[in-house]
Amino acid sequence: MKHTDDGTLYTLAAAKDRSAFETLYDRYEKLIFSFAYRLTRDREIAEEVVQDVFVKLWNGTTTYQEDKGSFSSWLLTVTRNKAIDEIRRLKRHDHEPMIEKDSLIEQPGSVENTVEWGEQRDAIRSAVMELKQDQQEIIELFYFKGLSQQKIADHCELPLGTVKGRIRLALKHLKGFITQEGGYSNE
Amino acid sequence: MNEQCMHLLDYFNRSLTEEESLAFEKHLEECPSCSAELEELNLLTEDLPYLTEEIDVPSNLKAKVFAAIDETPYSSENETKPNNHTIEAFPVRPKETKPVKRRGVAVPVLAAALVASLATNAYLATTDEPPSTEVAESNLQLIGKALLDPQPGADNATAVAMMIKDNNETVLLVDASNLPKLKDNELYQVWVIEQDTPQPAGSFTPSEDGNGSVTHSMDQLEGKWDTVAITIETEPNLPSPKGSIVLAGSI
Repeated sequence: MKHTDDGTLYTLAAAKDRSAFETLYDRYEKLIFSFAYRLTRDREIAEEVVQDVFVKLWNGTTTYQEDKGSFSSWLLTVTRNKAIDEIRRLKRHDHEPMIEKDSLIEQPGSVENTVEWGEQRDAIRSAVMELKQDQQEIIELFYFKGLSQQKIADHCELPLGTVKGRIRLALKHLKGFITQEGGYSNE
Repeated sequence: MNEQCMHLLDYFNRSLTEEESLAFEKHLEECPSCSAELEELNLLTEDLPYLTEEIDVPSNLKAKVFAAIDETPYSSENETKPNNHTIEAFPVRPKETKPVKRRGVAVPVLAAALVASLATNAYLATTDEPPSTEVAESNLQLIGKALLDPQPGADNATAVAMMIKDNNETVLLVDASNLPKLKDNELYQVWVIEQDTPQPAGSFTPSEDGNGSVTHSMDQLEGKWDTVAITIETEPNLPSPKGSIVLAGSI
């Protein structure tokens, strides 16, 4: 089971094979938790996100289709969706986050060596470093902060109509650099 | 390009209302340009999650998730449903992948979190294996659960009792909060009651802030328990309660 591919494990898990589900969980727990934390900056909410994502996967509330891309991309999308919903909910009840404090590139938080996506991260990080500062910022605001188009326009002092083009350009540049950096693409 | 095309980013970032979101999804079916752009956006962002720095996962997260799963209505199928019809069981249309405005925090999530924290304790209390061991955790089964009601004099006290089967051992787990302060020689005693016959099922003294929990193996006890109660006693595991009842509920 440990070496079974994600798609097969998912199919088994969707049919309530607990062992397959558990293998998937073990495989992705750290990535999903870390990503949820990266988005929410809150360990408790990140835990809630992980729980929501996997419970919904198990009970079939969210379903993955193999023809729509890799399982990992799907799982990460579901995670991001839940996380930005949580960020938005908290913002409504609490306060605006301090956007200025975060940057697209983080300093490593731990000295642990047992990385699972370390190489991939390094490649993407190098690619990000090649982007201009304002491009890094717009990706952070759009993808990691999940801000609305209007808020991004306000924050970057851009006309609303140009936001989409800017984001697309930044992402395209990034993708280009990533491909150059060593051909890491997802799956 | 029409007005809807302007909503692509906000749809991707889930900042549309549910109504707007549905309208945009309808638009997506009719606008090849928007659906191509959305697909491109998904493709262009698929590497970004891997920028994430690794952080340590809380050691009890897995137990929480699996306890929450055991609370879902589908979990009972686990034992009865064979795994050889996977194709039929494979769902056809995605729901959650389409961004839809969330509907507020669901109560079951909170309940699941509560159950999860309890089951984690139960797990830790009933096995020597580390939490990463797959088999031990998978075998946790919730058999019964009771919310105990405070009795007069302990109005703010709350407690949950859960009967959990872990492999072949059954344990009763009780987790209480806001308990009245005890005198020096007193303790809280848990009882399982069949009709009018109580049997002791673990005792504990709460923390300073009135919280306490205890797990008790039920393998030595036999009965069709209908009630779980907590009393204040001066000695643990008396044959029958002498002190006053603080909390009680049917299981």
